[in-house]
Amino acid sequence: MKTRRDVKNDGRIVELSRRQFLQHGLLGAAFLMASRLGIPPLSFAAAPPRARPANKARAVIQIWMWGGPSHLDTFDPKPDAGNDYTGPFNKPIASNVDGIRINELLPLLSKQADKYSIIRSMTHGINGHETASYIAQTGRPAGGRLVYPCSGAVVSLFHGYDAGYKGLVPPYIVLTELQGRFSESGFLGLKYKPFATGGDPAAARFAVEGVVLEDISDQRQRSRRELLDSLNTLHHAAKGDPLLTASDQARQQAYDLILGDGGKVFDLGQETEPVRERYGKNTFGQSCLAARRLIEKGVPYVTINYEGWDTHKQHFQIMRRKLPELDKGFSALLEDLSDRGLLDSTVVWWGGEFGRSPRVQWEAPWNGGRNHYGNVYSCVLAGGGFKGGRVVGASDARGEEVRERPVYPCDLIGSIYQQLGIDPDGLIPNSQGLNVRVTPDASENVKSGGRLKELS
Amino acid sequence: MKVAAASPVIMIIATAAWLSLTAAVSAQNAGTALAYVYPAGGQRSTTFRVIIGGQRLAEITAAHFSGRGISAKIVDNIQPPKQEEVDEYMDELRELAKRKLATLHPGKSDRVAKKLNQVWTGDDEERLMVLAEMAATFSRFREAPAVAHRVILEVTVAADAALGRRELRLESPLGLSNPMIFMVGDIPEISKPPLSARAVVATVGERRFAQWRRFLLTPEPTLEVSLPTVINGQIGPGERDVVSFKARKGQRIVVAIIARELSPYLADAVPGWFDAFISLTNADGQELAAADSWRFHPDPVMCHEIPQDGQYFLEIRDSIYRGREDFVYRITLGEIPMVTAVFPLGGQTGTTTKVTLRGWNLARTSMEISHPMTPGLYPICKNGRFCQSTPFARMSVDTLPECLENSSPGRPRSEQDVNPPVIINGQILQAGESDVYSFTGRTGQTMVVEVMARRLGSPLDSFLKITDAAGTVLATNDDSEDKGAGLLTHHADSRVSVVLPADGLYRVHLTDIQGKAGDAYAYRLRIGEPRPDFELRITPSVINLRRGATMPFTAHVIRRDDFAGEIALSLLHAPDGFVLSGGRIPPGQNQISMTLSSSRTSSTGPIELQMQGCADISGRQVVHPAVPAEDMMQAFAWRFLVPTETLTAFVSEGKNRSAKLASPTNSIRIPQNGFVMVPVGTSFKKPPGNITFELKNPPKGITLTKQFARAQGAEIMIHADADVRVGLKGNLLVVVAVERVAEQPEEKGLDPSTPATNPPTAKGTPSVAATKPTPARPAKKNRRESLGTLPAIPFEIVPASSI
Repeated sequence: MKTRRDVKNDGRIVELSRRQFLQHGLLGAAFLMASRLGIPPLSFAAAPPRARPANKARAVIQIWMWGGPSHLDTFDPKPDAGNDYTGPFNKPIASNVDGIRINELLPLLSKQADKYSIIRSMTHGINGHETASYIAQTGRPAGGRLVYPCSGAVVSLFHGYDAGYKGLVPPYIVLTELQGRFSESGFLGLKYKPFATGGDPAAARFAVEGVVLEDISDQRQRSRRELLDSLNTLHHAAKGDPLLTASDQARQQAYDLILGDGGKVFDLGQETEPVRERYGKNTFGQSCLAARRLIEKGVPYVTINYEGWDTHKQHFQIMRRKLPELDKGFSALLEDLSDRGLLDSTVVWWGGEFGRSPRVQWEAPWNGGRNHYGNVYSCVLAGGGFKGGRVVGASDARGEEVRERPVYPCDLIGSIYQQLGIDPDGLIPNSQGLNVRVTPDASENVKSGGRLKELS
Repeated sequence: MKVAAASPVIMIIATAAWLSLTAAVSAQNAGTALAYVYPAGGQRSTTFRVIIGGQRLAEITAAHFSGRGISAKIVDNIQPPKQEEVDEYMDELRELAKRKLATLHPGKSDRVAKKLNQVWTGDDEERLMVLAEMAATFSRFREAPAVAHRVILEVTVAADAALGRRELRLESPLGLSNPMIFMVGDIPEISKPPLSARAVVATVGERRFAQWRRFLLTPEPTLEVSLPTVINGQIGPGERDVVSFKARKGQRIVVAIIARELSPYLADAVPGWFDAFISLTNADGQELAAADSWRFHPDPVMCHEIPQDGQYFLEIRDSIYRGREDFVYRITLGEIPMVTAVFPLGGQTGTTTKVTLRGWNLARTSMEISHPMTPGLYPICKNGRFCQSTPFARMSVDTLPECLENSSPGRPRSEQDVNPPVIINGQILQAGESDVYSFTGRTGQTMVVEVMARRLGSPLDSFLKITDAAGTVLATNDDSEDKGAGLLTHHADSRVSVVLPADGLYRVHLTDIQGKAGDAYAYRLRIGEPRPDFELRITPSVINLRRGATMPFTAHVIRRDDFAGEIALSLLHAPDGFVLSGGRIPPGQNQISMTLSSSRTSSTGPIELQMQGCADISGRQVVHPAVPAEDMMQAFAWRFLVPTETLTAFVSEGKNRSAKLASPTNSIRIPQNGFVMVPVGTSFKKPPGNITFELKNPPKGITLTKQFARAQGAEIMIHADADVRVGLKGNLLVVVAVERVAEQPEEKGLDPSTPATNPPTAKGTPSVAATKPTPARPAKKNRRESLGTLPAIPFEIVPASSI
């Protein structure tokens, strides 16, 4: 029997049989529909969240560079630092913005530099994957009394079903795998966890878990549903019961997602071949394309979990393979969003949990590797009202320390919230009576360099 | 029984997938690096083959073992297969794999094969395995170069070779490798076949196969052994090795593993070592005992009394089913002596202590140990057997007066008066027991209370509490880090330093924080005023340098009882021409780079060196040897200084360079927010190109800003920023390099009208390229080549006004 992974609320990963998985998929979809229909969710009924009306952005695409990309080998090159720092990448290329140079293997992105800004002074000083991932996406250090929600869950709270989102597709989507060992929704609970598609957008059929099944046709699904309906004796016996009626409606909408127009958003075959080629016919490129389609459908938050950047060993060989893939997918996304008039309303956030050690580890067993590095790293922001063609902050000559304008994760996340009309200084509504701000203030003793006024 | 994870078919698919990758081997600019030795030891009076795995082993010329009685000759050096060799055989490999599938598992699409009545012969299988191994080896060389290269030695262990632990290094023209542990024993040994590359590739090569690997186990014949024996093996991914043996009722069998001890820290693994798990089952498959550690040691030890005559099975695997070439183990199996408890754990210098031993299969339960006059840590016994099965078991010898605690099992005692300075030898014998010692102190007196237990092999996880006569808690401590305990990852020994607030009685309370107890839970408790002191470590333990050249190394200081003074490091009995530069370790610093230089007339080869550190401590000249060590990383982040047996300089002939590099021997004074010009000597018979100077890892704020050519070398400008602290001292390392200007190729073929000269293709038609102009060859880049390092330049930051 085929098995699939599911992540429990406490972070445990469990294997599901296909039958269980189908049930989960339907139940999950039904759950989301139920929340749209006003059926009390299992976690809590939140008070309507407060969002600023004057938002410049309405959606976020987060390109999560899972594992931590090298800042020196992407958007903060240091060609004069010497071979022990640059490795073979010592010829950065100019971009279409005077003074901005990026890695030589990112030529397509170099032509889009006017659309994005680079923050070269990101810092949190944490070198562990889990704790750095947490602070980079929640804005708060790990280890406190509460587990905080990440930005995707917060946006889902303020711009999701509670705020009038009517989409069939859940408001917080992860392409394609959850990060694991990371609670996206934190204390907000199950309702605000992302929907992870699973599958591979680059495959012939993007088998989205619970929505598009790899080996079951739509017709077969419909037949199954009819059979299930005919066997649903409770429904027949208690016809007219309000709860069952609401449940029935939720189920109907879940099937609409699976078999109707909702699920079509994942059908990348509806795009022309040149468009698919432009993004790159690989998992990342097609994830970028899927993200664009989701944003078009009104989904407020999409995370692309882009694996493979934890390059302890043979870093440069991996970079030669991955940077062109990144270049193609990321640049196509920016250009496509811009062409379709979506970039102004969509924040594109590129970055990982940290950078990588500027000094190359040439010795065995690394053989030209880079280690984790949280002292300084880079992020990229585009769209959503953020100015493009800028560089915020700077690292030192070897990319080892922040030289000017430190930017902490809470500064970046708070700036994104601002663009979305979410008050970073406001409170997160919750059923537990917690007095929790959207982003930390001085009382929480979390370091801050101030929000990105330079870009807004 | 070797339970292998490799289905041949899966393995071949995985190998082929790996071969499709085109990553190139990275630039290699570091020295020979050994990753494992297999088998990691042998019996006296035997000759056997040993595989050394590592990286950059192509030019190995010799093997060196520490101690006497082991000789070795190189019998093979396995080079990576060439791409074209592998390509040549890949079609045959795929064809064989396809035929095996069709023959052994015929499906609808293989009716033709059925009709042809194909058979799968032993020769086919052998050929398939040979080709698969070649392809897998190629894959391992590219994907895991750190463990893929192999040198085969034929090792002879003499009948009188000293038992116990040795160090093995390989020699190449550029120097000696890092050391690997090699054990010498006196009981018969057996080695399982070395781990094949194809077994590794089959399971780690493709992620999508990983979930299936446990279900693709192919049993091999179980290895049957006679007791006592040492079994050598390597664990591949997902593998479980099983051996069987006959035992009689009542036999007290000891199973002692060394795996983590052989490779204490793996930089790129979590946990950072082979985390062995063992289990013992009877012929019915019933598990009788299992262990994944022995007390706090990751290497498990199991003691089991055999319940009835019969056949028994011992299994070993990694606790989370990892495996790789460097997951090497040795199992000592039989009625071997196993010391489980020692008391006391030390004694005073120049005295004799009667030591009680507890354990299994011991010929005696007590022994007299005469302590040397020099304080330090000494092994309990040197005959190899005990040492093999009781790692870390050491005696601490100290100059302070000693006493025993007043207690015996089952008889609770009240607190015990002691008179500092003193070392109390005690045990936590009852669960929850708190040993209390009282002493009289004075107002303002600083007292140090320190437990020495875990560092001597005791499982005690101590907790200290200091109270005054009224019971007020003055200080507590659970763990106290000791950078000198290189193999420990849990620094369980406690230490507190407290200034006494008043004249009067004070109490020291010592417990096991985990509430555990037993005769093994022994400790040495020091109560006394601070004894400022230091230890030194030198990394790396081998300094490879060319004749006449200079090589940096690092001195580490472990400061005891808040000693903060300066330490002067010096070479002892060094051969002529060897010079240590930058040998002063400034006050308060724990780590500093220095350099060692050889002369142009130094003899080549390995030379054992000795270094010592001298410091003025309270008017006394205190001298300690500098202990060679390897700076090892585990789990991607944590670093440890692991002591080695010898500090060696290896002088090589190297390239015939004509550079003479020199730097000032006296400390230079750099003004804060200013600069100083430093003359350096660089004389060449023939200047090779543009000479450049660069500071290597300078302190923050200190930079080399300019350089000026001079008749006999150059002057370099060293600048200190305004925020560099006045009084900062250290050493500057200056790397000298030359940029060689590349000769550019002639500009040919730029004119499109120039006829192409490409040869025709096999069919006689011009190639596509032949219709185009030959593109200009890319310009060659200038080449930067390091000429070496200048002798370390001591510096001090001084106020700008003082210059």
